[in-house]
Amino acid sequence: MSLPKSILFVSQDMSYCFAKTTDYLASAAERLGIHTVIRDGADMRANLLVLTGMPNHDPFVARSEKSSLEKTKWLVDEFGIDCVLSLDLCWLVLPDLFIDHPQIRRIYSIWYDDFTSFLEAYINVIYPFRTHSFQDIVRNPKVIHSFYGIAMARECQLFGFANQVSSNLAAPREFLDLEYPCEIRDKVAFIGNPGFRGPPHPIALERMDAGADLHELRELSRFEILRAVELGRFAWTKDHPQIPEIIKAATLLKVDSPFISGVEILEMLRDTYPDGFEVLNKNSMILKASWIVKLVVRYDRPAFVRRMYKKGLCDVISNPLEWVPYGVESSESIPAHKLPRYYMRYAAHLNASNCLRDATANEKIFEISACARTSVNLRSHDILNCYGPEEIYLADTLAESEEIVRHIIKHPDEALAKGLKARQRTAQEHTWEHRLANLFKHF
Amino acid sequence: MTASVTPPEDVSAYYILTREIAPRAVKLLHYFGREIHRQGHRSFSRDMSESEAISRLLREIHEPADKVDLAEILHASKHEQMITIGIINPIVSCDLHWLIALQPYTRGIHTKRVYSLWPGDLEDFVHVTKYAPQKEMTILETVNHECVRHLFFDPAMLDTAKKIGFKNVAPIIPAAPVEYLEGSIPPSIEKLAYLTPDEPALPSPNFLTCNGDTAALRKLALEETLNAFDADPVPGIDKNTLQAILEKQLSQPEVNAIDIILGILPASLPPADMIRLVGITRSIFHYDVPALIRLLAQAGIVEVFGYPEIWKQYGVQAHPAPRMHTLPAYYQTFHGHLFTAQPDKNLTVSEQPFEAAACGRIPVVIGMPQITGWLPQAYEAKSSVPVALVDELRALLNNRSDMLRRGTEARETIGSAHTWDHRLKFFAMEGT
Repeated sequence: MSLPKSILFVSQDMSYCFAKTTDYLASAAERLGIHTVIRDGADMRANLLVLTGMPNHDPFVARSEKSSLEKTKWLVDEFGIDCVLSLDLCWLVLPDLFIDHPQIRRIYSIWYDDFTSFLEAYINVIYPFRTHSFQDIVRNPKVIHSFYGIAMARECQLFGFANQVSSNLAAPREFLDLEYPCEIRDKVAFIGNPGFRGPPHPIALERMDAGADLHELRELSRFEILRAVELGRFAWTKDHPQIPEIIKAATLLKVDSPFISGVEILEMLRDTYPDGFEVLNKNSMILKASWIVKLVVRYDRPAFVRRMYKKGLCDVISNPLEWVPYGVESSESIPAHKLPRYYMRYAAHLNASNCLRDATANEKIFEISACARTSVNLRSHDILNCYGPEEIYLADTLAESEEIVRHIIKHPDEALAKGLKARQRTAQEHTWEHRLANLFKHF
Repeated sequence: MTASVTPPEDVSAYYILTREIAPRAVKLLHYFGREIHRQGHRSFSRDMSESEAISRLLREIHEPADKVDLAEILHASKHEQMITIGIINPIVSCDLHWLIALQPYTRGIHTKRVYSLWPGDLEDFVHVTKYAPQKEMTILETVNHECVRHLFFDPAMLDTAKKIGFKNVAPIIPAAPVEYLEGSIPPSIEKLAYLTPDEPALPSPNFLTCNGDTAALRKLALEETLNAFDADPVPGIDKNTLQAILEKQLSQPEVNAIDIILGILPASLPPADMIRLVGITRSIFHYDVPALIRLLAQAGIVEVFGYPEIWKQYGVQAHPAPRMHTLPAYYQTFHGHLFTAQPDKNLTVSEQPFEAAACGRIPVVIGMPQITGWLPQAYEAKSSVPVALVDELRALLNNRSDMLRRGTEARETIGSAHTWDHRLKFFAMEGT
């Protein structure tokens, strides 16, 4: 296998907790004997935000871009960079540079966020496209996209992301060597946010308290979506009379098939509603429609967590403000380097994916497992691809999850034993070294 | 699986601040950072040149203060968040690169230590005076904050810094990357190589008329310096005073410029102006090294690398500088490497001899007496007369097996005492 000689990792803003993954990847690359350089693209983006806020900003943007281009090109030349790697499209802050540089043989986008959320986030501003278009860049043969969910991959395939590698997320090898005592055995923990940040409908909270399970909550969410469409909250749904029908049908399919991606579901309805689909496509609203469809499962994660929390079975650790709408009191977020200690403090953790990501084997399941702890997960194809019932707990409903959590609290040693097995599996199959070795087969 | 490890509860991280447009700093800090990782510490690297670029651009286009503030707040807040979330301690950068966005935060609220590593001269102080936000403290007050430590490669620069008003200064011996100790390719070029450390001065048309005579070249440089002073004067210094300073320095080249200046001026200048004056004073020596290198290149003793367009004007054919990632191969291609003092910057110490030695090649030094103290295998050229120097170096090159032997021994010395691994102990994380 030919490995890159020198990789430039373009990180997200280092002050954000999710930038830790770039660090883990770089450490893994170094262990594979590859020279690495990490640079944070956030400062360039901050400058661009300031400049584009000024009137007649084009010449200043051009000047700022020129100096950033020269500097980054210098970095590539000096360090003999032959490969660029980032989460999502963080490398794209300077369009064209890496695509056009002859020394760079491969650019890897390891998709962590969902496509729409990444592109719409204001912090992901980039310099103007000059030589190539966005589509040409992301489809360039040099660029390889890695998706950790089958549905996520299929979604992007439909958008023409031809060069794809299926690759799960992973855990840092460093976690495998750590030991902290398991101090809390009478509760499990959930470390994370509710996923979709929109406030829950009061009826949804009532239904959760009344013991509603996933199917009912998904139907409720569907009802909210259709009501919003009816009330004209999404102006683009009026572009064609078939569009509200598409949303109706797509959300119904999503209730029954939660792990099929929004875009795939829409594609399935193309023949039934050809004109409406055509308008959605031509008006560049497919992603918006897909986003709405994904919201059908928006209550999965928060309901999962809230149920356990309200019954005194779970501690929640995250930005407290985010859980306030759900009536959950969470303790403060913890910095990335302290995560292992918190993972190991509990015998088991809840794990549920973010509804917007059409991918369920998130990074957390690997980190928890690397820390020799087990997790309680909603069953999905992605999860089953990574761990089995001897390593993690799997549930199909919230009621089942609750039984599992109560069982863990009664039998923490069983959970800890599963955690050890999860750690072994992680060491053998799920570190960032494994992922990079897989990616570099295409180098 | 390896044996289980319980790390300390609160593990601090190094925050390494580079400035991408300063290649030497990038190189030094890159290898420093790699050593940190190798030793199991956490670290984050960040490029400060973007913070500086936006400050500079907004000031130049006379953007209103609130816009400049916004940019500076954006950058400063990122750093503060890093320091808080990442439990950053210490901050490490070359020169004052950290100061561009961190000036308000040296009150030590979160960070307990800031290290400024000074591999060269003090020009960066002048630079940051133009672009760093000065909100709560002056630049000098910030530089002298109790949490800041200044580490100097060069003793004359350390002395200059103290006399300008720096506190908390200490010497540090340069080092080489551990990576350079690995690998070996046989040398193929039977010459010394000279890697130009800094951009040489452009020669005036009269350079060649001096025929390489050091005294004549210095007089020429003195006249040129005086003539150029009107275009970029130092406030508070008239031309007569400058002339007195330059002539005194000319008569006592071995004396530190700061001592010459302080012996003449009735009162001290602000630090930035003093540093500029030091630089102007030493510029009377800016033809010394080009003349020497020209002589040695013409004699077939050295191959010159770096700044080919400027060397062309000296009649010297130079190659582009090797890329950072090819430096080990570059060092190993030659039988030895020539390093000289930089009299125009008052510098006699650099990390380059250590790098060459780490690659198993003998450093040949001129005017750098401290190097042989740290690296006994280095060769110190003694001849002061040009013709004798050429003969001396030619004789050295004729004994290549001895050169390689000394290079191998120098590599062992580096491995035992002069890698960044050894220097990391200097950066003890106090108070964590």
